[in-house]
Amino acid sequence: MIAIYLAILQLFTYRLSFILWRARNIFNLVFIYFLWSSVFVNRPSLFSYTQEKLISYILLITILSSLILSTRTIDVGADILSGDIMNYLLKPFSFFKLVISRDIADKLINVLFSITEIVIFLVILKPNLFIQKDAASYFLFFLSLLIGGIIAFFISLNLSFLAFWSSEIWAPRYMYSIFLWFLAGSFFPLDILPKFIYSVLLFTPFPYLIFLPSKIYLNGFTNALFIPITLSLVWCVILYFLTKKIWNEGIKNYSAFGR
Amino acid sequence: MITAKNLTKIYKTYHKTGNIITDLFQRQYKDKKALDNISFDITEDELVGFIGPNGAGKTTTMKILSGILYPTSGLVEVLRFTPSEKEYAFLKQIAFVMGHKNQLLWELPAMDSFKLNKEIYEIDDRTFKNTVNELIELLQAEKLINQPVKTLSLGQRMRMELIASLLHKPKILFLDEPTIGLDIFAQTTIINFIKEYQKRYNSTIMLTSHYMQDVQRLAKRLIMINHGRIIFDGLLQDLVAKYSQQKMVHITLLKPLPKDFETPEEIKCEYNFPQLRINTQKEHIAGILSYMLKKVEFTDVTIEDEPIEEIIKKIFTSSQNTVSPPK
Amino acid sequence: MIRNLKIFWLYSTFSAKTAFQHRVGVISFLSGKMIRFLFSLLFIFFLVSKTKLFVGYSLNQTLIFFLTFNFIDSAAQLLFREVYRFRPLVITGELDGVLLKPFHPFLRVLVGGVDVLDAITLIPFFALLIYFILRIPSLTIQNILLYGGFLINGICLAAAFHIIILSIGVLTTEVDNITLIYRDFTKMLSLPIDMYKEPLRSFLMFGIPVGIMIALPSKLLFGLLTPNVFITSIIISAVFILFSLYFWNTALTKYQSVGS
Repeated sequence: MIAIYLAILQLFTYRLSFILWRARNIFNLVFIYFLWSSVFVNRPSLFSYTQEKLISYILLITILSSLILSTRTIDVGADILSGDIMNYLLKPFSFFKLVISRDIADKLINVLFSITEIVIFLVILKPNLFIQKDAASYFLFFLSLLIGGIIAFFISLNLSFLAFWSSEIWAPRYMYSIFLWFLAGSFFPLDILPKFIYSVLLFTPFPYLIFLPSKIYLNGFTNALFIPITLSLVWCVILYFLTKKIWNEGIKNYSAFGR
Repeated sequence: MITAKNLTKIYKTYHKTGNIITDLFQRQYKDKKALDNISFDITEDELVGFIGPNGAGKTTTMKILSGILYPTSGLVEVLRFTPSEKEYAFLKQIAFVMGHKNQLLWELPAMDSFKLNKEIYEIDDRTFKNTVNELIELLQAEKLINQPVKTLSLGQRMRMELIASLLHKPKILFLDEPTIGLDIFAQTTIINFIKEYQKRYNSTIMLTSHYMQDVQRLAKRLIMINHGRIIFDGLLQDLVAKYSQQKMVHITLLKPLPKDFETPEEIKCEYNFPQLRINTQKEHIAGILSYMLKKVEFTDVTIEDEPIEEIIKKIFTSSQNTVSPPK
Repeated sequence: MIRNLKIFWLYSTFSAKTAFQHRVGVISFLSGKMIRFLFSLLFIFFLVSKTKLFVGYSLNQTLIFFLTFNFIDSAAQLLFREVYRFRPLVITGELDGVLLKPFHPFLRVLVGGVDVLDAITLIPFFALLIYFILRIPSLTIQNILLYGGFLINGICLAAAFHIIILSIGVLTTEVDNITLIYRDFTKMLSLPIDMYKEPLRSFLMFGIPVGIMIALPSKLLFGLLTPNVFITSIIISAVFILFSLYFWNTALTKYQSVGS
């Protein structure tokens, strides 16, 4: 709870920054919304999506991005480089619990604002939306959200762990964000891509962050989704062990330099 | 050369009440009077020491005189220009060196910054070469000019800053805490350089510093400022004459003090054989000395003024009490 | 004038020297930009070849809109890179040193950090632009000249935007976010402006003149402009540029500097 309160306080200290940052999210949304609206003018469906479904997809992606992709694990990188991380490790609480709670606090705030913005957006533009009616799909939807969150968390954490070996952690993260921007489905649904490319993508963790949950919401559970869901679980497990390994190696390497 | 008349400067600052809601939507502003109706004149070839505690208004004054800040009210004239208009003819004749701020290109050798200034101030090749060589010689900086500025120590960097600022032989040099953060050797180098520079080129120099040794060694004239008001403007020696009634008598004894050695109450004594220090009013000195001659044998006597730091501290403290900070 | 050019040249060479020292970071950044450009290009190709038209524009035309945006955006970043480093300049007080020099501060804070590598990225944009422009069926010399003229106007408007950003930086130091918002607005015009409904479209076109900056040149190229819009755009551009200069001068009078 305290973490959440502090996070809010921190945000208000930079209130102009904060307002401007939220404004930017709205601009981005406006751009993508109009892009797709224009595509669907005089066209009932494209790539097996109706306008309704695609717009719903865009709005859903926006909220999910703020939920799943927002993270404070970037601070871990800074903590490692500055040596602050040693302070945390000496305290009688789990470092990971701290990182996770910081993340949850950050995500909560982001989602709150994201939903507010979406509501304003809906009120002004009044697009038609698709609402999923199948309860079972909701269950699966939330499950896939959890998995997506975990995958995003681990990947970002590992990018921060690079700080154990080099101070140039900015470049890999920058590259990741560029690939993420395109390959996570943040401005178009991944399954409009040619089948071959889509299949290859399914072997990367990118589709499982925000695309898969959205797909489950829009289409409900179908047999076609069985493989992707399984693959997402596989990634979850792989990343868990990878993170653990990198953490252990990193700490070993780090302490050896007596920082 | 420099004239300030009824100069006032008021800053607007945000005032945080700690209440999230008001801070977010109804920010409160507070006016801070940094300079309150100050006036002074500085003529050619003067070296003026400008001292005061933190926040007194020294840097604000210098920034207004150089044109960085606009005065809220009052008249400022430097070299017959209005500084805030920042006319190039004016800027070409002044230089401003700030102690803890960097004006050189950080990642490149100082020489590159010099070349940049050469173009900016339109110095011709020959003058440039000569000036650079002179300044390097005065500051013993020959090896330093080709190293990246970021690799230099603070003292070395200050020397480079000084060279860069003096390439165009400015008529007025503003120095804001030039020796802050430097070790004693670096400080001495810089102070000696400034003294030598002023002697050679007869420029007007305005110097602020926290270190009294700087001011004492360089300035004949002193302007003291506190809470935005000038509390003393005159020669350093007049400061002593006007404000200091005390003298320190320092006696080196040959034999320990006799047991019946007594001094009147108002005279403070510090005795640590063979040194005997007496702090006394000027009028009492004759009395003390004749007393000493009778009572003790000594090998050495010196009579000193109260240290300038003490005098100045006294003046500032009393101004603190009588001159309340302007609202 | 020559003196200003000399000073500009010196600052540019020094900026290049400094960039060279950080070449790893610079190359990463540049690669990222290239990858992003390629992804976007591929997407447009993919989408518009399926839909045949995008808000009434052919694939060719859509690509020209996109490439024009990239060209102006890159040119602006190339010239005005120093604006992105303005905040530290104000906070450390180094700005004071700049204001004291007998040249126009813009030589340092606006165009003092010309990014040589960005200049290299302009070449592919330019080449692609020429290629696709030549494929326009009803191309006229007049349109090309108008296009070129308004391309230059676009860069002047970009300068005005950056000057406003600098002025805000002088007053509040909140430079970084404003810069990003400016970039977001320009990005919204990477595709034909017709995709937006009114009143947003007019707002983007004339309100904050990003439309004039980026969308207008392409429209002129396709011969799509009425004299009304043409004249309004010129007037708005002139007013905007003058305003930015006025704003800058006012900001300087309110400058409070840092440190006591």
